[in-house]
Amino acid sequence: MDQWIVVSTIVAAYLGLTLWIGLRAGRGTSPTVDGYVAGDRNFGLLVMYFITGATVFSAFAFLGGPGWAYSRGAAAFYILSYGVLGIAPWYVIGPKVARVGRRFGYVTQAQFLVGRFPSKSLSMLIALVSVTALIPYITLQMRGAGIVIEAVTEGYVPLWAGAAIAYGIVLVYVLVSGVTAVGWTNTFQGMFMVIIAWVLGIYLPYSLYGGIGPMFTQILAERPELLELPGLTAAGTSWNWGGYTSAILISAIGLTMWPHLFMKAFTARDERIIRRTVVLFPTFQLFLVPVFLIGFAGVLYVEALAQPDFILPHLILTVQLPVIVVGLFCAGALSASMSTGDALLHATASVVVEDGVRPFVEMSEHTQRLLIRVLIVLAGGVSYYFAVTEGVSLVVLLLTSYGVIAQLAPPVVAALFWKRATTAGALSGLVSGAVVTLFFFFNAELRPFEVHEGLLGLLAHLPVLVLVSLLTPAQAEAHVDEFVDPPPSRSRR
Amino acid sequence: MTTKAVRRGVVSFFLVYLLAVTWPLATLFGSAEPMILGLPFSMAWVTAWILMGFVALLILDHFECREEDRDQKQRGVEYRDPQVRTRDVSR
Repeated sequence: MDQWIVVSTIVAAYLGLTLWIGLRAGRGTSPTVDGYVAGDRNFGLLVMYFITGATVFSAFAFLGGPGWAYSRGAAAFYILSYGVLGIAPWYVIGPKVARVGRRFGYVTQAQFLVGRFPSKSLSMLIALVSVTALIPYITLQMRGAGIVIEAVTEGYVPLWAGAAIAYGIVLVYVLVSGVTAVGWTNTFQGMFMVIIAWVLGIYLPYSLYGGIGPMFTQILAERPELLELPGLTAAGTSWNWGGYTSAILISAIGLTMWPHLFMKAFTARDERIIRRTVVLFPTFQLFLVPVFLIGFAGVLYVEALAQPDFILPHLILTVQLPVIVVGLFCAGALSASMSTGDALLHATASVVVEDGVRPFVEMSEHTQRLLIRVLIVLAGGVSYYFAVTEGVSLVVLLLTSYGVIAQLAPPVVAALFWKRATTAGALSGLVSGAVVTLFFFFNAELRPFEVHEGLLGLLAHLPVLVLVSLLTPAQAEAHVDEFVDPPPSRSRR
Repeated sequence: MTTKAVRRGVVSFFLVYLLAVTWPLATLFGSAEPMILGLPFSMAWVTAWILMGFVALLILDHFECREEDRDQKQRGVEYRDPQVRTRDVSR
């Protein structure tokens, strides 16, 4: 039987299993917005760990990362550098956000920020910023899924169809079960990804070069420029330190500002779980190491690939692996994409409804849940359109989105730690940051030292936030203390 | 060792971490050689920092949990770890 038929069967079985888990997960949550969006605040450590890890490690890591290692070498190490730096502040910020969120019943990031900085415009702006960052992120996941399926079926199932099938499944379980589906499917998918990554990351260098050391020794002999920081640009010339460093900085700052991660603070059963998730997060970072080894394995083995994002599936197919492994790899890569995509779709829709619509229009719980579902389909549609039409690299898509989402970091930090911050300051800061980021995005040649446009946005954002806050009347002390000095939550018995 | 000292230590560690993986310090550690455990030095460097970061967070969490338990004991509230199943002996 043709390899691609067997592989497709394995993949179909995997997708079926994921769908089953996702649909079953919905039982046991209340039919309220709280239940649908925040999972009734009931997730334990195992689920939290895998949600966090599996959500963060997506098609970006599984496909984009090796794609960069293959084509740009050490430039990909920025990805290894920002993760732990980005998650560390969450150790302090996460539990505080959870504490405040539990007290006031927040389910979204904007509700939290508007809680401290009351303003409908701010709510709308945050929704806009979030969606602007989230759509490209969803796009890259869909594209990743499509890439994998197209590659392993040898083109029989083209990118547009593969992406549609994978995301059709995601849509079904997210629509039916909400965030609980996300939790349990991520747990399953997270475990899967980690196993596949390590197995292939060790196997491929050994089978192609005789070992990891021999592989790098050979790369060093033939293409040493790939192993020296800061690596190469997409065109193959030397990248510069400004670009490399600012990529690390903007990604570290933006990491915990992603709505789908931030909102996890509102779903944790307990603050200690959030802290434990942070502590364990580096283990997920380590999972990137074998994934990069796979990318490097392609360097001397595969001639210049038109789209480097295809390197991982391409290698899998070229290296005569047993067909079951090919099928399982494909399932693992799909896990990576779907486990992030589902959380992103869910977060996008929740944000639009809760933060963009509800502050302005009265509606019942039932209508809200319905609207969230409609928006999930809509967001999926828009992202899908870009996924099948855009040809930009997966990593570039995400790195760009980071610049936008990182603009939420100053108001979050100000809300929790700066008593003198005011609503006017938060609002004007965010507007300045967004405008400057957009300006440099469209005028990339004007960026000094190729510094990331998001970082330039932050350089405008921060002084504006501070100055305008100081120039406007301070907020009431009692109000500020709810956020900066929240009373400890009573432990549940 | 007090929790406060540990907190300060961990914050300092992460600041050093940030400096170690970005320009300008990273330029000193960005070469391919020497190979460490088969990996190019540039890759071994960033990987080592992930491991050290993990250890730092473990240490911090150990002290923070101890502090929290101490605080709650003083307030007469007992922390009930949701991961640990205990029998309700009052029944």
